[in-house]
Amino acid sequence: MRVIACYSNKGGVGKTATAVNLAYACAEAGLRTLLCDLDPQGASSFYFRVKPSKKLKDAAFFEDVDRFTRAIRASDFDNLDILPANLSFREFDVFLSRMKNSRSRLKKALRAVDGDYDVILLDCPPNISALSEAVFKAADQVVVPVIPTTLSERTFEQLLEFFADNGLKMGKLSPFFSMVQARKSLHGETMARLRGAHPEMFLAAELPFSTDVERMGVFREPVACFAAARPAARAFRALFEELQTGA
Amino acid sequence: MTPRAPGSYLLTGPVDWQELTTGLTDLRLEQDPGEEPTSFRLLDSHDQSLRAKGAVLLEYDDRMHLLQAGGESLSQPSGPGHFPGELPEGPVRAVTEALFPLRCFLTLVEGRMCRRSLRVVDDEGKTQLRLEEIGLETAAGRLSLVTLRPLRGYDRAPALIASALAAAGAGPLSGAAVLTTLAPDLVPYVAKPDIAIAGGDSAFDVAVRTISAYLAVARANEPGVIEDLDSEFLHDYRVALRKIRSALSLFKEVFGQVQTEEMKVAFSALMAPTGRLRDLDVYLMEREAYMSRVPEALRPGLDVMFDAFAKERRSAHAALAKHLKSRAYQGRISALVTGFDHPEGFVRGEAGTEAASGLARRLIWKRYRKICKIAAGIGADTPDDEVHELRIACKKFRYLIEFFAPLFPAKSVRKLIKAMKALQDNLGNFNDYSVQQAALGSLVASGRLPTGPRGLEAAQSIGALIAVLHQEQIRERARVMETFAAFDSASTRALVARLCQHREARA
Repeated sequence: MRVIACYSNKGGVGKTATAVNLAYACAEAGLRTLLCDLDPQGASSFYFRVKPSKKLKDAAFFEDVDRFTRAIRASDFDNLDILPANLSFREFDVFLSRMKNSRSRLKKALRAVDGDYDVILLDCPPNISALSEAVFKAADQVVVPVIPTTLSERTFEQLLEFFADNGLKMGKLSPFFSMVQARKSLHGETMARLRGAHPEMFLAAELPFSTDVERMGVFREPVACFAAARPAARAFRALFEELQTGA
Repeated sequence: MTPRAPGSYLLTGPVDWQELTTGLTDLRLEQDPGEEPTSFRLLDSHDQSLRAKGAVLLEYDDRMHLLQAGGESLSQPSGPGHFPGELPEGPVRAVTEALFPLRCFLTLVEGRMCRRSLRVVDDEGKTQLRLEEIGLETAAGRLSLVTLRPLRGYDRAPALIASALAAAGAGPLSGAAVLTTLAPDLVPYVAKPDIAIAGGDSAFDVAVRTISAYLAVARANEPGVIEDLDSEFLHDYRVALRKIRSALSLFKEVFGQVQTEEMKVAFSALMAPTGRLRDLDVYLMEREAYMSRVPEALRPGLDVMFDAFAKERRSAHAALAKHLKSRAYQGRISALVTGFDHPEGFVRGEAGTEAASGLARRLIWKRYRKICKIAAGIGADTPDDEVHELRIACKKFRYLIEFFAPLFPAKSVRKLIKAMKALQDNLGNFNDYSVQQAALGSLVASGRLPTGPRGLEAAQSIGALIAVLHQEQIRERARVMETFAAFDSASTRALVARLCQHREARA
């Protein structure tokens, strides 16, 4: 079981779109996939038309593994289940540590219909600075969308500092450029500078700025379902393949 | 945390979805347009092993679909062959090959089918339940099979649809129900019919009923033998006739003496032309087992022998098929069927009016004593003939028990048959090895093998095989005293005495 966290310490960078489309790519490749919607806004559940579960806001929730696993919903796609968690912050670290502990009841109960999940994708809440460390420890890979702008560059450098200060494994970080606009020279320059400063860290796949990603909200489906041949869908597929080979 | 087992529901006639979905309230049904109708075949073995398991095997669009009673369905590509073992590797092959390795697939019903996928969705268009509808139609009737495929975390929609289906009269998937609707005239074939025997029935009635039932079994196998569909048609045909012949000798005082003799002659005559073909079938089925008994260098010689068997089998089958289709045979067997349909024409013997139960107890006890008497005289040096006599006595004892089984507690019958099994297997093997040696010896002497170096090679290999079979026969022979001693226990004796209500049991 591999845990992939989609994380960004900055909002509006395409984090949820990445989680949704990566989850879909995993499932389509035949991997039994669980997408945990840990974002209180429940956006990734929305894209899969899964209604947020009111019950899961209960504070005693994590004491009750059965209720937790009962909350898992099948998506309309094979191999892809959704956990519309809506966690409150104070439970988040408990959730993560138990998920990785093979002796915990949570780890044992967290199974697909036909066996263990191959991939668990976490759509993380933004601004969880106090708990980021738990995410980074639990995840095997941390996928970070970075818009190639100066502001995003600064936030990304802060994330690197956080990793260094806390002795976290840099190797887990898989940043990639998101919402890239080829026409903007600033984007090109920022990407070149970042790739130069952090050789081998950034994924090769780049997600272009795309109205298809925005239209996911209309279709309420992953991009590949309504615009499979278009650049955004191709970029998510490339991202998935790169993460697979790099894993 | 698995969803409930996906269920299959069977409905006679078409599905009224409007009616079924009235209770869905905030959920609604979405239907795909449905596929073009296609043709299907419903397959099973002749003895309908799949139907007996509640399963239905459909072939359509070049695939085999096995719908199982529990709701799980298996699917795999079809193949050009007729036997389970000839299918490409797959789950349907695995199930059917385990169930009837020797039997071929038969098409029991053909018809038209249409398939359609449906979904129950909520107000946001999220699928909460997937459904599949299969409509099957033949000239005799139409039925619908609805399979629910629940999605994890969504329990309400399957529960609503399941109860609506139940209210509409849907039942669980069952092979029998499918065939009853689609092929009401199809008579299920049963190789071992249950013969009801009541305590007060006369021995004459029981004999007539038994023979009549097995005559029908024999007749039901004729077309399969003629068309050479699989080896088990002939096997069942012969087992049925053997059952009748043993009934005649077991019930020898039931019909008049001359009558019994006449019947015995008639049934022996039916049996006689089938023997060689069955022998050849058995040899050919055991090909691998024979091969493994000789060193590798001698195996090509056995191939020569098996090629000769295969060739002989073709002509033996052609001859038997011709015989079974002949007016003479058809006339003879029809006359026998008519005779047993009107048994008042038969001459009754001394025991004809005796109650079946009394006769059964008398015969079983007598036969049991005979077995014990023969066995008591068998030592390490006793001639083989006496061992054969013990084998035949055991076989007749077994037939008696099986014939009259309905009169006795099922548990006692099972216990007794189990107690006999090791002894019977031992004696059966002893006999088989002896018969096989003789048959192989006469094959070499017969001139049916090719001449020249290939014939010589075959003769050498057969010689080696005979030597191995001889050793195995000696081993079986050495075990006879031991297996009889195991059968001849105080508890078995008490069991037989109790069944027969013999005074030993009352003492």
